[in-house]
Amino acid sequence: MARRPRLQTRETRLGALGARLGDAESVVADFAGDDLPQKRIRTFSEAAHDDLSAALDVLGLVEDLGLVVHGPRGCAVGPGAAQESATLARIAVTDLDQRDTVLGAGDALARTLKRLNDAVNPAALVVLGSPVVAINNDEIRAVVAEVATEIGKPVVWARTDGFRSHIAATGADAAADALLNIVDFQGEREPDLVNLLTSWTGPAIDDFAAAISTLGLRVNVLPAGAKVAALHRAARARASVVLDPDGLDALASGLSERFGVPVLDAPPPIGPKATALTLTRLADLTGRKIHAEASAAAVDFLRDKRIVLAGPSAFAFALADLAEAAGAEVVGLTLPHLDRTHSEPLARFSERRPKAQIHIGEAQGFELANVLQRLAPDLVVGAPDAVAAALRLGIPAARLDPADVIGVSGADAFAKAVSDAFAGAALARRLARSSARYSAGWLRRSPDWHVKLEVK
Amino acid sequence: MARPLVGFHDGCALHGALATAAAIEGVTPLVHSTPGCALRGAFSSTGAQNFRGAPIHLSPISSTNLAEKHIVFGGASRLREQIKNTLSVLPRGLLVVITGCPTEMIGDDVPAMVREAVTQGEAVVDVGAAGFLGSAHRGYERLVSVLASRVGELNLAPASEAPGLVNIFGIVPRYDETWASDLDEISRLLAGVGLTANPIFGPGGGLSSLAALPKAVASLVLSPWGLAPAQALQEKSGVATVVADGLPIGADAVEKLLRQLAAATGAVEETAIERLLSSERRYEDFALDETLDALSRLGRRRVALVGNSLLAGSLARFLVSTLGWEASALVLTDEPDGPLPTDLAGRVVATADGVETAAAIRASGADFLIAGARYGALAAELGIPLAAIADLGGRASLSGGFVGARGAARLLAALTATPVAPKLFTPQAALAAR
Ligand code: SF4
Repeated sequence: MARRPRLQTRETRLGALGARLGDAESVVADFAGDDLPQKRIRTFSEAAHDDLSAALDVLGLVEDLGLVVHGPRGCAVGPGAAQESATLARIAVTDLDQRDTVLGAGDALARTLKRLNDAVNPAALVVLGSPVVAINNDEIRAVVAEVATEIGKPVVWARTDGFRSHIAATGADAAADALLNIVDFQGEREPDLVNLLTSWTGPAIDDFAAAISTLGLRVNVLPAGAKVAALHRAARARASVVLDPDGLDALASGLSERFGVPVLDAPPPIGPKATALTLTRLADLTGRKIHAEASAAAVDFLRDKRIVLAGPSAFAFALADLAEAAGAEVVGLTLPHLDRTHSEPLARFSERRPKAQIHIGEAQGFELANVLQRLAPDLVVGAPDAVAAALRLGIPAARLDPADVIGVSGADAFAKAVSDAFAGAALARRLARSSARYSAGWLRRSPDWHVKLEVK
Repeated sequence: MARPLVGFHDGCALHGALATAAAIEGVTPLVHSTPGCALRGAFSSTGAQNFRGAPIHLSPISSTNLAEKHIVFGGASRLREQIKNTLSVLPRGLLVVITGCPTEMIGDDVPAMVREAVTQGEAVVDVGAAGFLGSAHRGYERLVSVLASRVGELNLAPASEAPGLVNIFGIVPRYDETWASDLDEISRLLAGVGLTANPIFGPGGGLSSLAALPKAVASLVLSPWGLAPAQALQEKSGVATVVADGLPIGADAVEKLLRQLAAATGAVEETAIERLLSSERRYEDFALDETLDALSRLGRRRVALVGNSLLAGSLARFLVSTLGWEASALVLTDEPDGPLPTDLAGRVVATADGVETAAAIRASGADFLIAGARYGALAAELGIPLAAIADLGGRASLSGGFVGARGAARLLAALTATPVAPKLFTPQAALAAR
């Protein structure tokens, strides 16, 4: 059998940038031409995520999937492992030792797959590669095929390695590829079935799924909280709506390319306007009638406030729309990465706020501290680490997870977070008195002195 | 050799070394490895549900985040650049370079890069903690052994004299979840008899604590993972090693520990021990009185205990010798070296594997489970109560811990607060009942 080509990294496939600081219009220019944007690297960095963690994140969402990490034990430490006993029980590791890093351990992989299969009887199994087996070039493909035949259920390979990409979302692509390889298309297309691709569960997601149902459509929610059967169904659906494009766009486009399930072209449904747009486009696509309610007048609870938003890129752009509708001036966005899939919302944002700062970098606390100190916004909203960085600088801040703001009620959730952040500013004042985490001298330097264009 | 682990406990050696370094105020950890290695440990050791962004609870973790070109051509020059820039960006103290599996495999000459910085007068030290060397507890052992044996070379500000100083070894930050509280309570107990604890980690520790290691009158070893560091220090600086029976839970265990320390140091007055013990006993009496009604309702229990060697053995000892319960199984999830204790429980197993642990619990016939919260589903299935002593999330460090009479009181409260879980309905059980 021919060796499958390597999975393309986000950098190669979509020109992803993981390190950049600039105003919005200069970042738009990076993506303007046909060429991929020039890659930037850091000469000082803090601990970052890798594709393996991102893939475990996505695959861990499917409740009856067994996951085997082929590597030493630390590589299999996954999200929520300490508390989520159900997830934990489904994760196994080959626990390679020093000797195995020299001699390889294909046998160990087969034994681990079979042991996990015996222990939890999953619907399918996925093997994830670690840096150690990638360096060693351990054979995974043949073992996966052999064990699949032996146990009579799907066993697939998520091609992660920990270092070929510096964009963790490449792991979400590897996970999507693995999930798509499990899918078994059987039966007829289901014209009233819509996939709702989400990495989150919660009341706002349930409400949004219920809103789709009002169009006379059935909703197949995946991968969060789903089982492998939902993957098979997904291939028969009429369309896919993606709530988390940053984590699941590869799954959506894979369903489209391999099984002809079109992806609804709409921004994440955050707040009433975006939700109405999504539902209207979905109704058009599926030939349904929709009675669009007149959207409520925007309440400008952020009038004259300078705000920084942080979070997964597609989510942050959607939140920026909501913030501006509430009267805010969005002076900065801090995003884990940007790639060509973000070109459209980036261009729209840049038209409105060409001089707003765009910071690209995940888990880079020193960059965050520097950028926030310079921008000195009235408020920071979004990802936990950005919120913590803001509070430590004395800036009021509120955490807002994407799952909280999906749907019509997203605007209210956002307004509540904002009002609580201002009302609870005492915490920011207290934290600002704690000792500094970065040298004062460094904080006076340009925030991206250590980010260089890569010399090929 | 590789072995399949399902639903396993603990991270890798790099994760333990990182958590340990990050728990010393003034130490900056620099992880020389591929991306992902450091953050997997940083997030999981606190039970984080969401692996995004940076870990908020830790001070910054410098990392080389090696790329493919470094794997192919070597990452030493990237490390040199990262050391130089880390020393500029992060407040200076001690920089600890921790190497993961990839860098050990590609053979980077890390000591040479560190020597370069040291010859420039910087305080930098390197520790090999590749994940394939073992568990997070192993990482603690490696890192603290290096610090203990090389403390004189670390360019630290000299420590002031502290008579009756006792180094505390064997409590692994974050992986022994109540670490900060336990260190705090041990410090309070030692202060009660005129000794000064040197906790190294948490708010009571720091670089001055590290610098003071050779000045101690003794090193107290509370788990097998503290033995190598204490011996390294003894070899280098002649500090006596005192090996205790794990964490001192309850007044009797405190007495045993204090008498051991008194004998080894000759620096403790008998009257001070008696004064402290009297107050510990009064506290324990109070806790027993408060919980006696509930304890008598629970009745004598046969317990399966699952935990790290710091805690699990001591818990078994307290339950057996103070409450008269039976320890039917003891599972040591940190897989300590050396022979397993045979006197504590009917069945003693050392395994990090979740399936083996579950099998040991089932086979024990226990009617009470003391284990991590992850075993909640199993306890429910077996219809027995679970007192969760692990998998508690980062806040466990503030929980008060299990040391002394106060720790015993918290344990009693946990044991008696645990409702007896009803047997789960299963079709098999229904058929069997017919
Ligand atoms: S086991 Fe090795 S490669 Fe895996 S996280 Fe630990 S140090 Fe990194």
